[in-house]
This record gives sequence, structure tokens and C-alpha cells, in this order.
Amino acid sequence: MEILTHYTRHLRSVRAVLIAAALAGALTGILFASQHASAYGVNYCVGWEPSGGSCVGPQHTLTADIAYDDTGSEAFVCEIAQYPGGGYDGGWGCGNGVAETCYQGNQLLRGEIYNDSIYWLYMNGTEFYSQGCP
Amino acid sequence: MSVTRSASATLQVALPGAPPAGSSRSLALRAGLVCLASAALAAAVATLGSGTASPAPGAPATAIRAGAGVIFAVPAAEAAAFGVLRRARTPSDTFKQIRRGVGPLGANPALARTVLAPAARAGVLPRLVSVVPAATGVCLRVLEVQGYAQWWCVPTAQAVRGSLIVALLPPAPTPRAAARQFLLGLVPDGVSTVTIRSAGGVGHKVAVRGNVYATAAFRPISIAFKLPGRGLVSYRVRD
Repeated sequence: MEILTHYTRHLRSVRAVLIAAALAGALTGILFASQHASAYGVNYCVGWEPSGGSCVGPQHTLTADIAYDDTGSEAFVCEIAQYPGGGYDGGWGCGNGVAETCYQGNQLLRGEIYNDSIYWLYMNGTEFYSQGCP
Repeated sequence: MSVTRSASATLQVALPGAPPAGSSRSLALRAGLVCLASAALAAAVATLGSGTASPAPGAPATAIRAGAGVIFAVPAAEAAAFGVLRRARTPSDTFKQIRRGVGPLGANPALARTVLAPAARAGVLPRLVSVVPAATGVCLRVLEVQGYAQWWCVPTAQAVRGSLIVALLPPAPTPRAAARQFLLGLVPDGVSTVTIRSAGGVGHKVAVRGNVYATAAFRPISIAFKLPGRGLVSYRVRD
């Protein structure tokens, strides 16, 4: 009888250890996957923009906004974010590379891209609303 | 406590006392395998789920955000070209992240070097400017206010030509409406000053510190400097 009791207790502890291991593994897996798969991104304003042309994206609780010149011409592109009711969150950033602006993700914003070169540029913007952005 | 499931179980029961080492190892091994299996299963389910729930970013953004793995050391080509990335990091190389994560092109905030940290903020003057190495390029990261930062990155080959130039302008319907701006850029070793020419034809020299020049400017139109081995180069600013 004592052996049976010990046997049962042992089985319970083994089961507990295995269940704990499975839970820990599952949590680790979810965390790992979420770090790599939580880039909820939306492309906007994909196309040719004339010199001085701009385009505004959809409204999201932005965490990141990317402005990109697909022509790879090193031309100046600009980026800013608008509040839904008007006005801007910060100023314009203009440069000749890949531009990414990071936001805290606690307010609704709309990304805006601007062609600051003298040429037509094939541009696009991408808004992210659930991802890290340092 | 250990029991071996066999006909002779009664003889092998260890009562009382520590379980045999082999049994503990077996349980640890099984637990490890279960842990790995459940981790893989959960990761697969989570990845599939998120893939169907969100639109896929376009190719450029994917390349910028996720295509490059994060780096953990300054790439040799970047260290060779930019002295600021060769110097040891110090406590002054603080980096306030907006949302924890990886920068564009695999840039790692843990490798950032501070090049500008004004004591007070005025106009479009940023709070903090850092040079951050990335997997396939170099970035200037500009913290403008506490909850808002901009990254500008170019491939290393472009950066060593001094072509990473950034202008910060106040909010306005278009950036061209703003005449006063803050100009900064990254140049390789050997460039000690740059000359910024403005619309009125006026040029002024700006010193380079930590491979970066930074200054307020009024309608700048070009930046020129002597690049070691290439002579005088000039870039149009905002065309």
C-alpha cells in the first residue's frame, strides 16, 4: 500500500514537472514568435510622387512610420505624422536615406510622406502599429 | 522519489531518500524535450495566426524592419570608416528607446554612440543624436522629444561617401515652407569640417565631431567637404 502511495505521488510529481515544462515552453514559444511576427504593417501611398508631392496614410496608433524612395536615387524624402483632427506630431524630418520615425503608440496618427527632390520619385510609406521601435 | 515500472518494482523502490541520479536525468531530459516541443508548437501557431491577421508589409519595409538581423558588434567596414564607432562606449552614450526593439537594417541601440546632447532644447534642436551601426548600413538616430525619435540610415558604401544628410524642420503644411532648419550629417574619418552654402550664397564652415556635423541653417542648398582620397565633394541639400 505504501509503495502504491509513493508510486502515485511520484507519478503526480512527474506529471507536474512535465506540465510545467510544457507551459514554460509554450510561453517561450509565444514570446519568441510574437517578437518576430508582431510587425503589423500597412503600406500606403505606393507610387510616383512629383517633386513637392505628398501623400497621407491611414489612421493608426502608430509605433513606426517608414518613408522610402524605391528608386534608390539618394534623393531627399521627408516624413511627418498628422493628428486626425489636424496639426502635426513633431516636425518634418528630411533626408536622403531610409527614414523611420518611432512613436510611443499611444495616440492616433497618420503618416505623411513628401518628395523633397526635384525629380519624380517612386515612393512608399509603411505604418506599423504594433512593434518595437527604439 | 523514484519508481521503476517493472515486475520487480518493489525491489527497486528507493524509500526514503533521494532518487537515483539516472532517473532525475531522465526526467530532466523528458521535461526538456516537452519544453522544446511545446515551444516550437506555440511559436508555429503564433506565427501562423499573426500572418493571417495582419497585412504583410511591402518589400522595402520588410527589408528595413525585419530583413536584417540585429547586430551585436560594429561591422568591420563601419569601424574602419568611422572613428566614433571604434571608440569604447561610455555612460554618456545613453539611448532612450521609444519602444524597445531593433532599429532599421538591424541597428542595435546597445551599440549607439552619442554625438550630440544639447543641454537645453530650442526650436528644432534635437535632444540627442546618436550614430548607430546596422547590419547593412549606418544610421543617425535623432531623439527629438521624449516620445518621438527619427532614424536615418544609408548603406555603408553611401555613408563612407558622406551622403547621409538629415534636415529637421518645424511642422508646416510642406517642408519647403520652412526656411530655418537643423542640419546634420555623417562623414567618414579625415573630414574635419564641412562648408554649408545657403540660398543667399553665404557659406559657413561647421566643425565635425565624432564623424558628425550639426548646425542650424537658413535655407541651405549644399554641403561640401574634402573626402580623403576623393577630393572635394558636394551634395545638394533638399534639392
